[in-house]
Amino acid sequence: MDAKTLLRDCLDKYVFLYSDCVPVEGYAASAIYDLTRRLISTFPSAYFPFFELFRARRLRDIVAELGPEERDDFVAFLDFLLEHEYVAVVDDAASFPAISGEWDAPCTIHNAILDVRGQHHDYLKIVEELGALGCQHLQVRSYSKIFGICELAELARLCRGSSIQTLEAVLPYDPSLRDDDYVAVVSAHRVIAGLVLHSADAERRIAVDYGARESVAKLLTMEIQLTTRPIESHLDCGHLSQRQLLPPSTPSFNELHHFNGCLNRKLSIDEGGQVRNCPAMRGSFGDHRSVSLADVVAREDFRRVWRAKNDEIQGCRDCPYRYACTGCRALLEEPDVQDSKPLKCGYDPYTDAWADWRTRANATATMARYQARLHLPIVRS
Amino acid sequence: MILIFSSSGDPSTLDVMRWIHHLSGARVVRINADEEYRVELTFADDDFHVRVNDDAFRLADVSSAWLRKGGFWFKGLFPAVTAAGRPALTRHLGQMLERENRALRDHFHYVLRKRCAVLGSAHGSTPNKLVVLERARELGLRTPPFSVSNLRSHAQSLLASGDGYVTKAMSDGLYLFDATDSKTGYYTYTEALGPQSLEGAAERGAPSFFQRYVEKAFELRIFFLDDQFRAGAIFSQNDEKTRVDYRKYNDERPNRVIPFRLPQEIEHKLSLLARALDLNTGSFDMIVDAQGEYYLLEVNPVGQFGPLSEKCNLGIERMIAERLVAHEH
Repeated sequence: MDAKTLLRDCLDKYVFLYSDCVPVEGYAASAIYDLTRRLISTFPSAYFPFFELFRARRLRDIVAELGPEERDDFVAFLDFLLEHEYVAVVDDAASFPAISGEWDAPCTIHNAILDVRGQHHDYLKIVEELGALGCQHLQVRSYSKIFGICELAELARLCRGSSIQTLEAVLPYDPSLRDDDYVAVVSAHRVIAGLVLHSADAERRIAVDYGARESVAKLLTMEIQLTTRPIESHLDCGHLSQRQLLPPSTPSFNELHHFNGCLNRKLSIDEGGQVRNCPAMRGSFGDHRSVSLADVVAREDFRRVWRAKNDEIQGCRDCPYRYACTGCRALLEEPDVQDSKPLKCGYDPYTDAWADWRTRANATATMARYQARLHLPIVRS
Repeated sequence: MILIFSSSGDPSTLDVMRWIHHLSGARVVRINADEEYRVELTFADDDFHVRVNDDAFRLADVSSAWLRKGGFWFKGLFPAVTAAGRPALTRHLGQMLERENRALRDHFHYVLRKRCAVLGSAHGSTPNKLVVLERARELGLRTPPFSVSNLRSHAQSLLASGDGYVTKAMSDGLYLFDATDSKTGYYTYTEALGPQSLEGAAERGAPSFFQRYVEKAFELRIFFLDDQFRAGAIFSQNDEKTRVDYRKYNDERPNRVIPFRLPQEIEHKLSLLARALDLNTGSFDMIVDAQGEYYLLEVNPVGQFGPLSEKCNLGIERMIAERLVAHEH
């Protein structure tokens, strides 16, 4: 159905925005989050007030109040909503309540990051304590040869029987290994859900099919990603671009209304073995060997940043993507301002334009400041 | 202690167990129907003493049990017996051992129910679909008219009526994920009855189930736990792929699933139906037509509620965990 037909045949009905399609108001552009199809589309914010009207009035009453020049815009907007199947026309939408905005998850810690460079950590202690906290996902990022594919296999074995469901690794590429060596380790440990090899010889992918065929293979296949890009430290994290936006889903959309998408229920062990919210953040909660992770996680000053939601960050609060963006509280545009927007964000909500964050005034100087205050000397491998 | 009977690949079991661990310190023992265990089992003094691998417990320790999947969970208690060169005797002994197994299972369930709060159905699978439809009708719920026949001529007359019919399994549909041999998944769906359905069919075939096709405005998937209902509406009608069976997913444009407020009258009748079928949890499938009439299609005591719960934020896993934890002391 198109808008013309609708305005001819359905004037006495209500335009019903499916409750899995949620409008989010931004400054210049606003968005609709399609939580079922996991897509976001944007439109000029001037149209946003129509959603209020759709709920309150029949189509006839909305159209009656439009000026002649507004009518064409309204038809175009309706067509946009219909094309994406965001709306239906109904006599009464009372049977379709909004999706509840509550959020909770059955874990004290949901995911954790482990950085490795010059020294090993007490992996057994970490995995055991994370398991007791219900941690579901663990990412290990290695910047040196001391943690390679063999160490990954060992870590995967430790995760067996714990609450950890997926293990992701970012490792330096080792040219002395064959592709098969990587495939063998990934195939042997189903917990390894992702592997990125940085500083590699070429941009390419290695498929791991676990011996499955045909339609099943399509579901099971995992790819090892090789990138020539060197990943040198935790300061390489925090990029926020269109590509990095989370495909929206009900849980993530709701979580981001209450919490910071990157830090909530997260714990990190930095390359020096210090427990932090994020490896790139200041504020250590002690060496992981001498403190209990459960004690750290119980601390109010550890949990405080979990609540740094985008609604309370400068710029982010006006951004239509704020419920699809993990944000970053480690690298800020103004490092000394607590609610400053993320340094590496390329979006300007006031002009609705994307750009490379490095082209913004002072961006490189700010980055240099962060590099200068790295809490540990970088040990090159 | 909470006892969970399930199958190894069931994601919802894992989610519920996470909630149990998050909400309480209760001990959980999970036994999967598709796994082989070293089982020690003694029935004495009005109690079962069970050891499954390294987990030992008595039924007296169990406060709640959740029968999530599967029929009987202690596989291999009765080893197969072969009488060499005597196939008829071998077959007979096999059947006899199956009866022994069933007698033990029924008694185990009887004691389980007597001793603790059991969530789920001991039948282990779907109640008879045809009986469910009859019961539903007796309670005043609409169901699409159905017939069963092994005559090609019957199917032909349905076709000729021009009303539109679908056909599906009378019992559970085929659902096999063959991970060992062919590494392929096999499924049966609800299919529209068309001239091609009868191609090559003999005059007398296997008895088949036919049901009037109802033009739906949307489908309902309704989870229930005791007297609590959580419903979602599935908009599958706009899509050719999912018109007849929404499980034929359209990956590019998945059907919308949104929370739905059930009319009290329907909820009340479903509640009576659940009680009549002796089910304290499960999912009802219904459809709503363009006139707003509700039709019951079937009930599934062990259906997948995970996607519904997640998309509509219904918190079903937590509900189940709270129900299981409630009887811990």
